[in-house]
Formats: sequence, structure tokens, C-alpha cells
Amino acid sequence: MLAWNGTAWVGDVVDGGGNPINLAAAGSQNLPFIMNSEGVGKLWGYSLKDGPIPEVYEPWESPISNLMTAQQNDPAAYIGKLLVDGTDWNERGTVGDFPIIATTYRCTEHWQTGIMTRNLPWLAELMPKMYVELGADLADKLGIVSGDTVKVRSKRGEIHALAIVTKRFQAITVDGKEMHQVGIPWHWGYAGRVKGDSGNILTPSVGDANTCIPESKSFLCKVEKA
Amino acid sequence: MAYGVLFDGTRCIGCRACSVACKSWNENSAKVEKKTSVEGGIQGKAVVSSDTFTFMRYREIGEGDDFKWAFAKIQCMHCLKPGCETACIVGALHRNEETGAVTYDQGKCIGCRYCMVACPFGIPTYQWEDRTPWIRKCTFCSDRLNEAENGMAPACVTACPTRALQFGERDELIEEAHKRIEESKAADPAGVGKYIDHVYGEKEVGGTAWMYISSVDMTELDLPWLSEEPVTKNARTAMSLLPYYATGMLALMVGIYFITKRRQKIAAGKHEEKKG
Repeated sequence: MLAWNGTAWVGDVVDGGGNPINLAAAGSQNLPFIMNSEGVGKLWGYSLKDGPIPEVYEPWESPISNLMTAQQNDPAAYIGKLLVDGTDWNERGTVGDFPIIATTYRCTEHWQTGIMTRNLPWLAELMPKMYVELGADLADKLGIVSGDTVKVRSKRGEIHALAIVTKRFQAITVDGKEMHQVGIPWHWGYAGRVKGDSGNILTPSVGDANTCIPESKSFLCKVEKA
Repeated sequence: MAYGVLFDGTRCIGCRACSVACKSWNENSAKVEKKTSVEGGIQGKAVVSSDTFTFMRYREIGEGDDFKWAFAKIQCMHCLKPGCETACIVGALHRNEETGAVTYDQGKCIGCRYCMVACPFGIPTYQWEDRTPWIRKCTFCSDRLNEAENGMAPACVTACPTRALQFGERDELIEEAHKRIEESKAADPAGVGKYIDHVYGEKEVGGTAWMYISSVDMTELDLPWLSEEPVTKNARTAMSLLPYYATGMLALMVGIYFITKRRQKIAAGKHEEKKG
């Protein structure tokens, strides 16, 4: 699909027309940070809302306190409102109520919210059901096996999904505590050839300070057998 | 010479472009199962069917540092000595000597399904739901192989984005497979390489056109462990006994018929005596 033949890229058009960095002239458009005029990354981000120095912040919903710095969250983060009939649904969950780390991710067969791919018969056939992947250790703890229907809840809402137990998720120990993580695809919705609950019902309405990219990959949830 | 396909498990990413390409070329319909299979995790499809000639099997193998998420493409192996061909009473299944494809002629098929019994890989599937059911299986894209000299390959091979599937003369593919294994060993300081040193399908059941090399043993992907002996031997034995079995059963049935008839006659006679 894309290959470097020694002098040029063949097969596709590269963003910024870039040569590999060791061959690019300094300050030219061929350096990798194509959005920066210098072409290189910045350690002193003078134009950033949460700059100028990079910092580690915990997500809005985090199971631990920030181990790197006293400031738990990015103070310049965009915190949105999810107004439904005057009530703000964008509430923050705590690890006491929602002990499991959740992330949203994708699968090959569907794209974005699946509004197109879920209507294509062969793709719908390959990946028909909304699922949640969880590690074998967490599944044993909750008494869940692959094929069970589970309820996943966050402070924003609740969804039903097919549980799939996998070895690819394993418990990790952070700050002396054992943490579990589940994976939630967000390709399903209420209409289409195949339907299912949307993973984005659970995510918080929080965005990056500069770009507002939503923090949908890191929040807290609770999983139980439906 | 005959064609083959080499599947390289270290290049496969489980994207299933091959499954979709196969459905597209064969104009097979999609069928969402009522109960989604959870075998293999997010694998979805678990068996070939009359509408699904190929699918990807996912297996999570090993623990810790040895953990691998491995994939295998499942389809008709197009054996060099096909059990289905030997078991077929009417010759509907036949291996084309030129292309190596085991093709199915539904015009000859009588629906006995002996091919389903004979296949060691469990591939031929019957159209159970249809009123006029036939057997269906991977065709090796025989209609595309006529243009093989012009660069056409089976649909799945053409669709594969990582070149995990390679189409060519079977002998050349065997050489290529061993070459990859040896090169990987040579490049590894420990001398082990990333492949299991075995080309599955090179010798199994007398050789198959579809062959596999991978970083995991193919039996861990639930491909059957098979000896080098072709299954045609068993199929031929079973089929050669068939006329004797049929004749024997016929003789037995005729015998039982006459005995029963005789008994009924005697019973009727006794009844007559009682009445009379």
C-alpha cells in the first residue's frame, strides 16, 4: 500500500509529502510535525491553552489520584454539558460507584458509529452484535462467560451488550491497587440492518483544552450480568 | 502443474477482507445468525456454510510473553487426493488436474452427502434450508483461474492487503514456504525464527493445495492433526463395500418380508379355524 523505494514513496500520497526524517532538510515541509511551522515538535508550547510545558493529567474520571503532580486534571480542559430537558447529564462518576476502567475502541468491520457499515449485509453478518470485551480475571470475578448479556453502566447511562471474554485484557496494578479494564466498541446504534446500544452513551462530555477532542477513551464504568 | 495458495500466519491481521471478497465473487448472501457465536471471541462466524465458503478463525494462544492472537483462514483445502471425490458415487466432485481445484458439478449430485462424511476438514456443506438443496463449498475461484496467466488469482488472495495469501504453482509455494522459515531462522540469533518449522498441507492427507505456515502450530487453530496417508484409501474401501452392503440389505429385507408374510398367513389361517 505504501512503500519507500529508496528515493520516494510509492503506492499512496504521503501527508506533507514527507521524506523520512533522516533525509529531510531542516525547516522544510518534509519534517514530520507538519502543523508546526518549524516542522519539529515543541517542548515549550507557547500557543497551547494548557501549555507551555507538557504535563501529565489524569482523565476526568480516574480511579487514582495523579501520581505525577498535585494537579489531578487539566484545569483548561473543556467540560461540556449534556442538557436534556434542562438537566445536565454530564455528571462525573467516582471509582467507588464505578470501579472498572472503560475504554472505547473500534473493530475492522465497522466504521465510526456504524451508520453506513451496519447496513452493508456482509459487514453486518461478520459483526452483528454490540459487544464488550473483558479479561478472564474480571469475568471470573463477576461470574460472566462469553455469550452472556451484560449491563455496562456509567454516570451518564447504561447499555446492554454481548460479553466476550478475552485474554487480551488483563488486570494491572496501579498505585498498589488492582485495576480492571473493559473495551467497548462504539459502532452500534438504534437503526440499521443490525442494531445495538451505542458505546457513546457511557462516555463523558469532556474535551481536550486545545482541540476539544472528547475524552472517550478513558472513563469509569460498572459491569454486571444482565 | 497445479496451483496452490500459501497462508502466512505471521502476515495475517485477521481483517477478513478475504471473507468479504469471497462472498462478493460468489454472490453469496449474508445471513446474520440468530445467536452470535462467541467461539474465538469476536470471530462471529464459526463454520463454513452453504453461503459462507471461507471465514477467519481467531484463537488466543499462550500466556504472558508467549501470548499470540493467531488467525487461520478456513476453506476447502483442495486436496491432491480428495476424499470427497472418491466418496462421490456420481462423480460430481472432481479434481481438475490442470488447476488443482476440486470442483463440484451440481448437475450430477444426488444429495447423498457422502462427501460430507469423507472430508477430513468438514468442508462441504449442504443447503439444508432449501427445497432443492445442493452441496456448496469453496471453488478455488475456478472461473478466475482460467485467467491465471493474466495475473488473476482467487478473490480472497487478490483482496488480502498484507499478502498473507500467496497464489502460485504448488511446488513453488512449498519452496517459498520453506525459504521463509529458513530465512527467519537465519535472521534470529537464537536460530529459532518466528515460524513453527512445519508447512501444514505439504504432506497432510497426501498433500493439499492450501498450505499454512505460522508462528503457532496449526492444530492450535483447530485445524485437524492428520497423517500423510490420503483419506481416499478409507473412502475407497467404504465405497467398494457399498454394492455388497446394498445387495445384502436387499436380500435381508426380502427375506424378512417373506417370513412376515408367512407368519401373517399362518395367523390368518388359525383365525379362520377358530371362527369356523
